[in-house]
Amino acid sequence: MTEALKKFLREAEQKIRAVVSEEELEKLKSELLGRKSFLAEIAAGMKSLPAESRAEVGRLLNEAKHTLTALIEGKKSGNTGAVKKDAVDITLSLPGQLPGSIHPISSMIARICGVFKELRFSIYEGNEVEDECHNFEALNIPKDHPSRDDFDTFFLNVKEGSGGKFLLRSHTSPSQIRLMQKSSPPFAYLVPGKVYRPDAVDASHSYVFHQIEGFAVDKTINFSHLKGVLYHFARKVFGDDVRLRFRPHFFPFTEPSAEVDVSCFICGGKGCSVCSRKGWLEILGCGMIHPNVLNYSGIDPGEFQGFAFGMGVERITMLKLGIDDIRLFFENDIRFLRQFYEVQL
Amino acid sequence: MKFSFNFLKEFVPLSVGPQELAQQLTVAGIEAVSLQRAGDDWILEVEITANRPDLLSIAGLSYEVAGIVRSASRITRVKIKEPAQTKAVAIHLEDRKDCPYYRAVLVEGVNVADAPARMREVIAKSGFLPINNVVDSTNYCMLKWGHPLHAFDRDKIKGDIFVRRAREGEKLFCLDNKGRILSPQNLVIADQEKVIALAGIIGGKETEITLATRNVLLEAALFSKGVIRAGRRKAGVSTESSYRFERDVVERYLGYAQDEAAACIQESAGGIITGSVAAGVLPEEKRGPISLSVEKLNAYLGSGIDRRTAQQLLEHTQCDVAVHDKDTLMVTPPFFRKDIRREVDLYEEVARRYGYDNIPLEIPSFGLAAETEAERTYAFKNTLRVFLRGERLREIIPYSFLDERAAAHEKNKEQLVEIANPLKSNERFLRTHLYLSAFEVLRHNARNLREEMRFFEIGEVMYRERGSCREKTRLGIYFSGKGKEHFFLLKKVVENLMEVFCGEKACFSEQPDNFFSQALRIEIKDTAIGFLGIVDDTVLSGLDIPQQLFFAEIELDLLQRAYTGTRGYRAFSRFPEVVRDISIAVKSTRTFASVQQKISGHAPAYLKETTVVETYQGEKLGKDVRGYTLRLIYQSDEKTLSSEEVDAAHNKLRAFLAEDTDIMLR
Repeated sequence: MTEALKKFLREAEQKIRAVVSEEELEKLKSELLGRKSFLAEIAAGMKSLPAESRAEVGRLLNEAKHTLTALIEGKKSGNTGAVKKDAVDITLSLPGQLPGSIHPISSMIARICGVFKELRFSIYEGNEVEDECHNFEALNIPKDHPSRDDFDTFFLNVKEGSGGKFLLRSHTSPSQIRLMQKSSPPFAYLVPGKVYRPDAVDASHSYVFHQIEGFAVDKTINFSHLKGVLYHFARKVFGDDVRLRFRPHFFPFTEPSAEVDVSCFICGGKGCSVCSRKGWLEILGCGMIHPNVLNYSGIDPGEFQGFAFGMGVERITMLKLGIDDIRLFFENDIRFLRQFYEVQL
Repeated sequence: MKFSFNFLKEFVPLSVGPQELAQQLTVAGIEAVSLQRAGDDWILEVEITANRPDLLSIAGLSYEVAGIVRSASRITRVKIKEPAQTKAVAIHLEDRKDCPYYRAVLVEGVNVADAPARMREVIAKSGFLPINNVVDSTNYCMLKWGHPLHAFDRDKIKGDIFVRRAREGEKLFCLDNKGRILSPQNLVIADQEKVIALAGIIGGKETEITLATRNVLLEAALFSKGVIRAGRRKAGVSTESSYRFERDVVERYLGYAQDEAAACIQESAGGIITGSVAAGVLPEEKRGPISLSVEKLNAYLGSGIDRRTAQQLLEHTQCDVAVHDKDTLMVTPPFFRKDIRREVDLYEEVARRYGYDNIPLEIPSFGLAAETEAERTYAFKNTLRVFLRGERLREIIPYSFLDERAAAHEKNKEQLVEIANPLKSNERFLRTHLYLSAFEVLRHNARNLREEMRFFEIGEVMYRERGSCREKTRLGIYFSGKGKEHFFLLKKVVENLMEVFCGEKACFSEQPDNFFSQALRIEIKDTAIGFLGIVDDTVLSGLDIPQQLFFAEIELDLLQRAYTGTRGYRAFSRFPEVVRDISIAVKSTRTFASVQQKISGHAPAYLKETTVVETYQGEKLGKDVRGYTLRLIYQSDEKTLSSEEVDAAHNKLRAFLAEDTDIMLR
């Protein structure tokens, strides 16, 4: 009964709005409120209703009559509804005044840092200007070694220091060395930050980008811990259903080393254009910290062991948000920036 | 590394198909990057990591694949009768560090023509261009054994072979049809008169094998990895040969490759091996066994691998394994695995064979750690981001290198840090101010402007100080607007920031600057922490931004120092406010700040606030005069002020202002 009444009311309102002449309005009034109207029919049938619903229907009936009368009167006086004289047109909106936004890279870094903070990793942002020693030698990347090819670097025209030439760090790993040199285990750090490599800019390359490096050292830290920590991270960032694949790889600063793929969260691993039909997306590199690296930082590899991992923030953000061109991050077009609003930071 | 599936199959029995093999190689750490059908064959391309130069050969791959599919490599060397020592040519090594060993084999009376079809097919599938039976033989054997070889036209070589550094300005026209001017950085092969090859990188055109070649000198040598790397970078060419030398070669395969190539030439081009000559020493492979503790292995991997399994897995990688005791294995890696040097390398071998995916997952516990200074700074930046977003600003991350034009705005040129190897020659400076790198973003958005620009960035500036490079984090704020009055929108944000973060109002004082037509220094708690200003029209004129720009830049560490964090409750007065307005006209040479100072210096202590409710300028007031209506709010913390009391104080203040010749009461 109440449903039918509501429906009647909705339709009646539309009819009143549609009316354009006084004549028609009078006709409609008698149709809606007159003796042969739907409302009159309901009123007539009230007697037969059970006592408990009689009151409710009566109330609705009265409300409907009032609403319709007000609408019809309003229409007569030239207004579309029962509008007060000093009312403003609240259908208008102000131009501009849009909310601000935080860059998607900052948001992603904050999100990832949050995940690792849950695991009691401590956040540290190192310097962008580094020296050869911390960017290479300490990380077991000797001079004139082909593994340096992966770490092409911008050097600075500044007089060499005790750590060799100054440069813009090509990865966040120099901070790993600095932190290991000044802390004693156990510790777990996460290092987010900007890194620079002389790559010509295109849809998937940028000479500046962001990395997050994580590492932990203790007497009993092992490869299964690395797997556990990264699995926790992947589930928090890519969703609970995600699977991980650890592929053996080579990095000079870890042994064993691995590259980690997540099952494609677009196609669920069946293969699609995002994962190049492979079903897997490469997201990071990792491994157990090489004994030479521990040694260099003054940590006895006979007593302590640790893991380290590093990921590209742009890559993960692109995968996560469906962004297909890395240049969008640095172009900072308002039409791009305004799309991202992470409530939590 | 590209290779034919069928060619590999000649050396290792395979029960799996190409797709399955590609998949298994990937999981074993040799990532298959492409797999293409080629008739009844498949071409597989795998990515070889820098630690596994042994896999840059079919020999190495056959052992690796055998380990993966539990099969056995059938690769064997082709033996030739040891050639007689020749006296026809001598080898001179200038520096044994550059070239520890060099061996030449002479093949005489060859008939240069196309190589046999099968050889051409094998090398073509690996990405080599078939050339002729002599050159193809060298490439075929490099492919098979991983050791680069080079064939010279013997008759074009004058006298002996010298392996030496190039002399400054020496020239070589190379096989890639490019002339190169050399320096002592280049290691070369030379004869008595001239340079004939860039050692280990590329040969010279003059001594190349042609259809007219009758006699061949076949080179196999060891060169220093570093010298090859430096040389090929300088020469700007990377070849299959330099790629392998840089990554290291397996010494034992030098002779295998050279002998087989000589045999191939003899077979396909006729001719006879007439002799050989060598200089230097081929290093011996001295490899002692490495001990492996199974207990330590499991502690490192977090696995439960038993001794027997570890042993089997290592045997699959061609290691020689002996049981030393209950926990210890003595492992001798195969001669071609120079990357296995210590116990931890064996952990990786075992883990790789065991399968990374079979190692369990665990979450470590790090206990409680106090919050560090670095963490506080990181958290502070995020607090700042959230605040500025609330002020309707957008965070940007611009490219941070400066071109000449942007760098020209830096007054202290000696502060600029220059990049030694910039990507683009004009973008070669690090930013000394954040705002110098914001122009491109502002220009870009001005083109498509739909809303006012209100940007901020938290980033690093770098500048030279006392000879070294300093790095500081700053907050940059960039606003645009049609008229100069939009400056006050930026100032409001800065004022709000100071009040919210530092619990007090900032002081502003004028600070002249070329870049800004007008600028204010921001001081909080008696420390200057930054500035804000209106970008000068001369700066704007070159920018193609049809708006006024307003920038602020604040030192993050100083702001953080002034940051109070959560503040305690401060009681506020509930006594009524008494409001009085004053209209004044002030000579425009006087700043409003000075008037305000005058007022606050002479008003009673219960003057809570002075605000400007109206400003005007115009004919009626006269030239060079600005009009203000000030609203003074009086409120005591102790009692209700009577209007008589306030009026008395207010009138006294009016009278005091009237004494100032620059101020007129209206």
